[in-house]
Amino acid sequence: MASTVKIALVFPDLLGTYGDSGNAQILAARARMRAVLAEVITINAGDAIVDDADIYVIGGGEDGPQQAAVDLARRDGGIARAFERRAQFLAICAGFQILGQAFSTSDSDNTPGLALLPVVTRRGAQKRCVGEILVDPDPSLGVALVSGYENHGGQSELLEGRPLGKVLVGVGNTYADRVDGFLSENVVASYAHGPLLARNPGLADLILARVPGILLGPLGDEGAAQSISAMRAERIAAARRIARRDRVLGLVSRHRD
Amino acid sequence: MRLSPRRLRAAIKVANASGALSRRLGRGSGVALAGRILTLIAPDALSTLSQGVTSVLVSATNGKTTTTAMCSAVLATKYKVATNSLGNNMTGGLAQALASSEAANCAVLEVDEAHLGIAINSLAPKAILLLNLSRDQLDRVSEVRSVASRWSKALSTSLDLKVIANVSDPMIQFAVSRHPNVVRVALGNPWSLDASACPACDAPLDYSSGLSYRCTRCEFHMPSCEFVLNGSYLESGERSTIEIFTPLPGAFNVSNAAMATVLGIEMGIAPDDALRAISAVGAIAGRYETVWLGGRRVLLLMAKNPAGWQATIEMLRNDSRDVVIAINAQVADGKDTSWLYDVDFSPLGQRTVMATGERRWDLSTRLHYDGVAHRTFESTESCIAASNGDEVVFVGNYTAFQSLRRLVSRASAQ
Repeated sequence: MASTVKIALVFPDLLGTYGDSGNAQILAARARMRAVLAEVITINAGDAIVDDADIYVIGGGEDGPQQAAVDLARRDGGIARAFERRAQFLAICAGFQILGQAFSTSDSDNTPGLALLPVVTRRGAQKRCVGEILVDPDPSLGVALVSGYENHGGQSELLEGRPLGKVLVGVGNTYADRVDGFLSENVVASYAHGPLLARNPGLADLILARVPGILLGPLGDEGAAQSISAMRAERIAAARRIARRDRVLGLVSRHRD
Repeated sequence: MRLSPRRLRAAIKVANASGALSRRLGRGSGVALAGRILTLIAPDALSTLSQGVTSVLVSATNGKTTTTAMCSAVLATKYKVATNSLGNNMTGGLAQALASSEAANCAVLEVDEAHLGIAINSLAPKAILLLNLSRDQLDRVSEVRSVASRWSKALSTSLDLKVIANVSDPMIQFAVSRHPNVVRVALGNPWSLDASACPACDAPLDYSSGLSYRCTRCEFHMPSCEFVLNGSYLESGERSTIEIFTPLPGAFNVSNAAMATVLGIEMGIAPDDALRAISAVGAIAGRYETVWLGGRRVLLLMAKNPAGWQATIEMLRNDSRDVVIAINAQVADGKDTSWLYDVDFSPLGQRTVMATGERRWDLSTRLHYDGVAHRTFESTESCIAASNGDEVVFVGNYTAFQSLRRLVSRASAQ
């Protein structure tokens, strides 16, 4: 079995607007709770991107830093090499967008991405998507409802492949498609932060379990499990309440709160 | 249409009453609505009310209310001061503060970051203090960089006013860099998560030379400063070093006091007089107040965003009292709690920590992942009742703090 799970946190200084470094911390913590050694390698802007990590965590950010991140990542090449050998990727919001074919910023409507995912992101004509999001994940994953908070203007269209799941509450990739994120054998991408793995420990364990040679035993920390399920129950109920209210108000497409 | 002062005061009352009504109906805090109504019925309100008044504005993500209180105290040694001491810092609140005192010849006003441009244009202030800019209430999309750009634009048309700026924060330096009349202060920069990329060109900033920064691509860098805060000593090339004192806890309050002292010096007030005035500023709208609750002494602290939380946790690092943390996520707090993961709670690891608030399970989850043992309770009263110590520190975000204050005033009324 792999001696230590190496988790690369990519550019938290550029792409870390929504507590995204929490995702890397949670992956490491949940590995350690099962006595699996784990190490978080923080790659700040300007550092070389290691290409031998097991999991790459990429978060969300503002337009300028997003542009800087894609420029640095393209020049460095580490992410593309890691992707080529099928390392695991967790990509949220702007992190999801930069892995795609192209995305929009305030300066440009067609910025080339790293072209690793079949997704194109354009600026939305409608208002920004801000609020609780609830996703019914792809059944093949065998994980519970995905709960999170989204905050993005971009509309991401999948050119092929599967999304992470169907949107039950909120917007997700686009106003029209009612799906969120992207899913493949080595990628979990989503617009949901919170951060995502705090709200959805099942996804964290799924990503860890995909690392070759990792065997996950039962979680040792009962207290943490209780708090997480109480939080999930509370947030999922809140999302459904918002959905009911929006239906009543006829504001489904305006999605707020 | 220019309104007479009397009709103007009536207009302000109408606007603020509408805001209060909106708040009672549960449609948000009502402050923004009050401002919109006032702008509609009396568009010149702010400029009319500020005629003949020397105004000073204070804006920042953190420390506005405290620094405004300190600046008011300093200027009160020379002027008759009007101020918005309850943190009511948007257009309606500014107008209300100005209208509240006819005798005032000076106004010290804290201004919401997004309203600084309007305030500068309509109040023609003599000086403004800019303290820091960092992430706050993520769901409102006030991206730090766009706020800094708007500040820079607002300053470009007001070249006469004096800008007292903490340029240890790259976002502040970016906002003031082209202004001809800046008093530069270096407070040190404990929070750089929002300024790791150059505000001018997005390349990484290099902080390796200690307390200053330099862009790795363009010319942007930390300038030399007229004042440098070194621990509690305010050093200045031409003047003797001043020791800053405030009874308020935390390094960030020494920084706030230093800014108020610099304002005093720039406004012709002797440093000793300024310091004496600052040392008399204690609890501010309940913050830093010690109250009795459930038979225990409770110190009340408020933190509203990651930078504020981190500074507060650092302050509590060497404390031994039990800590109650309360997190809500109402509109005024920001509905997105993901910022909890931008704060390192681990310095509280050896303490008795209790989690409460409407989003106590989010907080509890965060504390678990940071290795902070804690218990979770439905209410602050239950936390305090469960404490073994005689003294408890309460830290809440905005609405959690306000609801504890209401509880305290109900308890003391009984």
